[in-house]
Amino acid sequence: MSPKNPPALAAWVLKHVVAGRPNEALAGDLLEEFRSGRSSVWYWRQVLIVMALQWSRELNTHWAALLFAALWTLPEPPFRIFLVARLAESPFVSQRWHLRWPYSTMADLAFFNGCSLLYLWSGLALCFVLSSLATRAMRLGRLMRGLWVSMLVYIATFAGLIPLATMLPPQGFVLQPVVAGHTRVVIVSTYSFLPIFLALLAAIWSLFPRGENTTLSVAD
Amino acid sequence: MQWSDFFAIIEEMQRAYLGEFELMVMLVLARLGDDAYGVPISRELEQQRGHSVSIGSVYAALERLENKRLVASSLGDPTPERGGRAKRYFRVTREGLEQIRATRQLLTRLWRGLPELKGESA
Repeated sequence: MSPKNPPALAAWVLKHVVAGRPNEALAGDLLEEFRSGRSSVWYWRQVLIVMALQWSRELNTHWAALLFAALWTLPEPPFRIFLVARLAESPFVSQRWHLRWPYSTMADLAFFNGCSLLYLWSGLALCFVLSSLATRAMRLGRLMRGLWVSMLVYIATFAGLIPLATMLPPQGFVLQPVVAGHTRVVIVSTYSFLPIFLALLAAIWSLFPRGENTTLSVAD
Repeated sequence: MQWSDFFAIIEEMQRAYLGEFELMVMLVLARLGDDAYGVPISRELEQQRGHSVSIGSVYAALERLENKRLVASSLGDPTPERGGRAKRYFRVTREGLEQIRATRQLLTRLWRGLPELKGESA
């Protein structure tokens, strides 16, 4: 008879979603308890508690990253409204966008998200320089990883917010229309704030090594 | 405030005080001896406290204690019933034992100085 296995999704969450490196001893303890007669509900509860504890610890450890990401994201709406909007209205940019739909919308999205990514990456670069000066070690590999992480998180969050933005009324500053043409792109600062904040936080997080001398996150 | 107060505050800040749960975990470690790993520790805590204890919170407390050097850990051999994962055994260090004794003395002094509680003797 094969041994009883815990819920596959819970085991996957424990391995991949819990912050820090996997703790094999803890995973083994949970499996041992589960095989001695604990229920699937018990196992799920344990996994969720481990996840909550680990993420709160990570946030506590990376409070500086959280603060920097929040401070850098705050001036983004004025940057978008004053600088990017003026740039979009300039003849140089607007004349290039006499495109038909859907290319016009794609060009708008690429332009505005490109500007957001540049803003985000300038914050990441500043953080990288400051951390390199503080630690006296410049690790360009980590910066490259941060750039990739920020881009992926930004795109995923932005795409995830599109259905929400179409269902809910616009919040915050609204800027429309952006460029000449048939398509009107509505840029809502509330919805643009979140992708930048999360992407910058994830990227800064990836710049710094995780706690290596801890029993809760040690890969045994 | 006098200079002596200032130094007393610094000394108090440097002292590694134990939280209630941390003290319980250390006492359980001392009680279990060489067989102290996640499962028996949480079972013993459950039995003594009378309600369930999450293994994650036990590990979190052990991590804090290890950072304070009050607890040390070592890995055992991987076993098939744990999916090939090793047990991590914990033990109280000498500093940890001193801390337990100091905490017991402090608590005993505090209990002695307590007036009689309603319904029970102090």
